[in-house]
Amino acid sequence: MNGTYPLIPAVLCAFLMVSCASMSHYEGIDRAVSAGAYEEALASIKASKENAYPPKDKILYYLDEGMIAHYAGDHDGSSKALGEAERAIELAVTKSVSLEASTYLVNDTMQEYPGEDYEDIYLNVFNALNYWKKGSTEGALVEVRRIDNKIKFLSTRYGTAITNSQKSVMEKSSEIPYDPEAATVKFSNSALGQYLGMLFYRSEDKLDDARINRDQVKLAFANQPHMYSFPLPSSLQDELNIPAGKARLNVLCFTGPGPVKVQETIRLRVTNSNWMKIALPVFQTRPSLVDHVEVAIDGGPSIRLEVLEDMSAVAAETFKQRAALIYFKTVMRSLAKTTSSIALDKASEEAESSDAALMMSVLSIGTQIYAEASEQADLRMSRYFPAKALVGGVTLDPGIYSYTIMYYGASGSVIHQERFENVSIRAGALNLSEGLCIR
Amino acid sequence: MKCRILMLSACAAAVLILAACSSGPQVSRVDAETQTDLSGYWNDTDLRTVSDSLIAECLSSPRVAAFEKNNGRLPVVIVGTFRNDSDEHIDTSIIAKKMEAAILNSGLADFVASRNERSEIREERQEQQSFASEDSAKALANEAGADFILTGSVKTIVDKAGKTATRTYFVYGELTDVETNKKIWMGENNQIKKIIKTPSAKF
Repeated sequence: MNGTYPLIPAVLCAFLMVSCASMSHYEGIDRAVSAGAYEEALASIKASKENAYPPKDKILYYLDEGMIAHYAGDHDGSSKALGEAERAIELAVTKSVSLEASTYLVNDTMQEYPGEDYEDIYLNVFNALNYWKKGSTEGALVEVRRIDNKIKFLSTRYGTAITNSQKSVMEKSSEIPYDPEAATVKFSNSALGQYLGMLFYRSEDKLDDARINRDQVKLAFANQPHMYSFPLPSSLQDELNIPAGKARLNVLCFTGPGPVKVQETIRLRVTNSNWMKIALPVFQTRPSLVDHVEVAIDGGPSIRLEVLEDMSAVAAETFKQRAALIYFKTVMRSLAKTTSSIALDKASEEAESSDAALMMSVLSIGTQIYAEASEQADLRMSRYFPAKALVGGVTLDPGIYSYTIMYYGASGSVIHQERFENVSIRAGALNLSEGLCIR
Repeated sequence: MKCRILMLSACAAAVLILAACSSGPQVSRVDAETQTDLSGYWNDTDLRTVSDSLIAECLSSPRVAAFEKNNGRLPVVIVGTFRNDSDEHIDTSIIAKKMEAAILNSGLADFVASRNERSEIREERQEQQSFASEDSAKALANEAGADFILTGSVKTIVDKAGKTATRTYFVYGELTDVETNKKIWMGENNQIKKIIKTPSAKF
């Protein structure tokens, strides 16, 4: 019997080793993305696939690869990777019982990364752009419809699970802090998804569908003021009023690095010698160097792009519902770990022999150390979605144009620019330029 | 005793691990008509169901049959676009090709090359003018014009709650008179409705 005791720390250590995730591979990739060296970043991410992304993080890998491939202009590769990510997210709804059981013993990183709701929605946004760049407006519209379906489903997804979890946590202790607002997601429409739908339908001459999408952009702003706290882009009004024989140039830019998750730790004292550690993932926005973006057309007008979607805000909002579930589960797990430590303390006090009392005390300390080490927040998330989407449009005579997208910092100096030479701007076609500055 | 149990357990585990490892994928051949629903998305069974029903409708259309009677020749049909208006990446050209083959083989209509196929044939004809013998080179500007154009679309309606989703497919086919824009046949298939239940747990 005594021989089994050394096994316990060994098993716990093995669990902890498995649950540790390294993020060091991101450093080089982050630097390359920030410098606009997307091909280098893509090569790095592919090279780190084996070591940095275990099979349970395959969704994470495909999202990261798909986004960077898109930035690098590898639209086939991006489309394939984002498609893989989407299929894996669908399948991840079915949880592995064995891995799920280990999340109750160790932490949430033991389970397969299931993808966040905003990742599932925005992967279709970038895949729509991939298909369009590959010359398939029909394929782009398939992606737009998938966004619509996902947004419709989002509001019904977690309701019952949250109510049940909330009830069980409240029954355990009224001391545990809980924010009921946290479980209420107010994201029901994506202006960015609708805007792309408007452009693609317009290019197919389906003006009625385009009008519906344009009105949905307006509704997204009107109904979700907490996420769309900036004015509706003024160019939107002209998108469907293009005079006959004229052409429209649309510019869509993505700026800033998307948010990351950081750990927030709460410690609650349960008895004099026992405490409960709750480690939660919280969203943290990453600062962007880009203050505003302008497009200067050679020999023509300059237009200032306007924010269409704060993708970081949408990410944080859609994470709220899952965050509520994570919170409940973390509390339950931490309570279980603390309770076992308390039970061992009690057994130590009641033990008849001093040897047994000592053993129980050591085990209690060991359990507390294990709880402290194992309670780690699951900080996994895709890292290369942008923070903001900005749009602009200008009506021109059809012809050949050269223009520059300029990204300005807060000091008013240009921090990055992209040149588009001799672009044919045609009437009755979608003339869309995509710009990037993930800094 | 304890040692023997341990040994036996280790052997059983080794056998299980070895059984799980195989040198390559397992392949088994099935009848092409076998229904294979794996993901709930559009598959070959759906394609077969839809094509068979649309082809049957088209071939039994009285207006299509009346063309030969009124004009003394078979109608000439060109395959246009089958639009994918669904939320899946479906290769709709397979539906169009299946319909083209079935209608052509029924002897009810002649088909001319579609827009995509034409350029290759025209290029070949153009080259024949320079490189083929005079009596075997085919004449230019002698193409048969199509009487009707075959077009269609696929749409989906998706509803989802919890881990259950329904997918309904609406597939349309149309024959339109190229000269008058009159639609002479229109078929619809909405027989495909799937309920997809995603399991909550796996081992």
